[in-house]
Amino acid sequence: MSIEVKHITKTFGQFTALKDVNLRIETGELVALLGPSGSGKTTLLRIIAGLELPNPGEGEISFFDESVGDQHVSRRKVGFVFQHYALFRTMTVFENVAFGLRVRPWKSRPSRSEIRDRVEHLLKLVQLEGLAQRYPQQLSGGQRQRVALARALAVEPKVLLLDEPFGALDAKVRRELRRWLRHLHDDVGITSVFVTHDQEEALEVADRIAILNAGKVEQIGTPEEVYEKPVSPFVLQFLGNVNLFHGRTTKQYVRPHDVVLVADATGPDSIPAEVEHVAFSGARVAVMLKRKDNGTILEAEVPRERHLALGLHRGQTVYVDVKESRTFEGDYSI
Amino acid sequence: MKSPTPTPLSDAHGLPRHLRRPGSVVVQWSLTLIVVLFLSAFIIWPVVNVFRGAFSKGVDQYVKTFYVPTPADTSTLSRAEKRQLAKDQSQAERTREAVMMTVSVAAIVVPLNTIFGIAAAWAITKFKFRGKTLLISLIDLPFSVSPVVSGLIFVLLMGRVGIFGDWATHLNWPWPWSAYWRGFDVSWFPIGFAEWKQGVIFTPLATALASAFVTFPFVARSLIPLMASQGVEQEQAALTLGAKGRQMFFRVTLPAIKWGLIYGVILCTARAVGEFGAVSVVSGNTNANDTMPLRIEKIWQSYNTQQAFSLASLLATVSVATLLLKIFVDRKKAQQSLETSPGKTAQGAVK
Repeated sequence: MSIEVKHITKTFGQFTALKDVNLRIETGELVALLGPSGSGKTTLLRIIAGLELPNPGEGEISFFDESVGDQHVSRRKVGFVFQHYALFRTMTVFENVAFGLRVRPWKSRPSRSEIRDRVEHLLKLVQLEGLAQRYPQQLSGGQRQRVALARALAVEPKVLLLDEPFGALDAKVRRELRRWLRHLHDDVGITSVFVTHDQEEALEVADRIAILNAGKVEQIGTPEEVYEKPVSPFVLQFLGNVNLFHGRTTKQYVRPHDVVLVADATGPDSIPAEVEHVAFSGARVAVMLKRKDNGTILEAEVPRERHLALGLHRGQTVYVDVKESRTFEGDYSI
Repeated sequence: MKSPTPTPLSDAHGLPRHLRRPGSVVVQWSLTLIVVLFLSAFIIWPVVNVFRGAFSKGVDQYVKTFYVPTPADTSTLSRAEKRQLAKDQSQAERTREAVMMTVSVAAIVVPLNTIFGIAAAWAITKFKFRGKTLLISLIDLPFSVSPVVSGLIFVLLMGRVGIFGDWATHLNWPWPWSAYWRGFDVSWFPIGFAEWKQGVIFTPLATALASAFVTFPFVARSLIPLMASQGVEQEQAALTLGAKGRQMFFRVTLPAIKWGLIYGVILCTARAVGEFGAVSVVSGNTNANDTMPLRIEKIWQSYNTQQAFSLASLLATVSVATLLLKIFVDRKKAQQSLETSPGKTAQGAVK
C-alpha cells in the first residue's frame, strides 16, 4: 500500500510545523522520517494517521491512490504505535491486542475463537507468548513496545506508523528491537513509516529516509544516497559529524573519516594541527585536533593501525590531509 | 580466615544514620499527638456525642423519632394522651418525609452532577480552547461562595421579583413520585404524572437546584487532575484501532477514571445530603420542603434534643460510611494514577 502526501501545510497558531510537504512512500517500503525536534516529523506522521488535520483547502493524502484526507482516524485503517505506547492500562496484554477486533461492528467482528487465535498468533510474532494475562504495568519497556506493535497489527492495517518507536528504551534494547523490527517488516511486508531523531537508527533500519528540517523535506533517498550524496549542508551535518573548512569562496565539508593524519606535510595543502584528545573505541579511533594556523577544532576518525603507526598522543603535532570534501552551490563563505 | 563483621551503614529503619537526625522521633511523635488530640476534640468526640445523645432515652425513644406506633387499644387513652399521640405521629411522619426528601434530592442531583463533572473534566483536559482557566475558576465557584449566598442567588433569580421571576413562579413541573404508566394511547410519552407543582422557589425543585449548585464541583474536581495526568494518547490509540466515540469512552476512558469518579461521587453525595445553608434559604421554611439538616434544626429549635440527635445520627452514619469508603477509594485512586505515569517500567513486577 503506497502512501502519497501532496502539498501538506500545517500551522499551529503562529508556528508553521509543515510547509508544503510532498512525499511518496511505495508499497512495502519501510521509510524513516528523520529530523531534529521541531522539524515537523511527528506532525507529518500524525497527519498521515488522521490524528491531526492539515490546514484545510490545501494538500491531499492518499493511500494507494485513494484519497483518505476526509476519512476519520477510526476509518483510515492505520496501525499507529505511540511513542509511550499508550497501552490500555485497565486491560491485560491479551485484551489490548484484541481491542481493535472487539470494537468492530457486529457484522465484521470475528468470533471469540477467531479473536483468540489471532491474538495468540500475534503475541507469538512479537515473542510475548505466555504474557497474555499480564497488565502493561507489569512489563518492561521493550515488552510494552512489542505489545503496542501487536495491537496495531491486529486490525490488519493498510499502513503501519510508528512515532519514535525506540525513543523510550535503553541503548541495548533499542539496538535489539530495531533489528527485530526490520526482520518483522520483512516478514509482514506492510508499508511502514517511523519517526526518529536518531540518524544511526534511520540509516540502519530504513529502506529510504526522508530528512525533515523546519517543516520541509530536505531530501528523500536510500541510506547510501542521503549519506553519500547529501543535497544540503543540513543533511550532511545531520547524518554525522562533519568538519568545516573555509575556502576562499566556498565552505568545504569533510567527514571525520575523510580526514587523513600524516606525520609529515605531504604538500602545501597539509595543515599542521595539535592532537587534543584521543578516544579509542575499538577498530576506529576518534581524534580531536586543534589547527595550528587558526585554532579551530577538527575531528578525525582514523583506523586503529594508523593510530598505532603514528603513536598518537595528546600534544603531538601532525599534518592533516583531506581525502574527500563536499561543497554546496550557493553556500558561500564570507 | 573469617572476615570481620562490617559496620552496618544503615539501621533497622533502612535509612543511613546521617539521614536520621537526632530528635526527629520526638518531632514525629509530638506532631502526631497534636493531630490526634485535635481530631479527638473536634471530630471523634462530637460524633460519639451525637450517638450518645440519640440513645440517651433508650432505643425505644430513638425509634420513636422516626415511627410512633398506634397502640392496639386507644380507648384507654385520655384526650390529652390522644392529642399527644397524634402530635408525635405527625412529627415522626415529617421526619420520615425529610429523610425521603434528602434521599430524593441526592438521587436527582448526584447523577446530574456526575454527568456534568465528566463532561467538564473531559472538555478541560482533552481539548484546548480559549477561556479554559476561566471555566476552571467557574467550576470552583461554589467552593468559594458561602452556601447562603448560593441559595440567595436562586431566590434573586427566580423569586417573585427576580429576573426570571415571572416565568419561574408560573412554571408547572411534574412531581416525580406521582409518575404512573399511561401507555402510548394519550401521547408518544408513555409516562403521566398525577401531581404537578407550580413555581420554583420555596418548592422541592429549588432544593434540588440549590443542592446541585453547591455540589457540582466535586466530580469535576476529582476527575480533572486524574484525566490531565492520563493525557489523550489512550483515547487516540482506541480511535486508530477503529473504535467509535462511544466505544472509546466506555471501554477506555471510563475504566481508566473509575476510581476517581467514584471518589467524586462519594464527596458529592455526602455534600448533597448534608447541605444546610443554600437549602435553608430556598426552602422557605416550609415543613413540606424540609431535608434532613433542616428538619434537625427545627426539632432542635423545639427543644427536643434527643430526637434532634437521633436524626443527626443518620447523617453522622452517612458521614462515617463516606469516610471509610473514601479511604478505600482513595487507595484505589492512588494506584490508578500511579499506573498511568507514562514510560515507567515495572521491572520484576509479578502479578
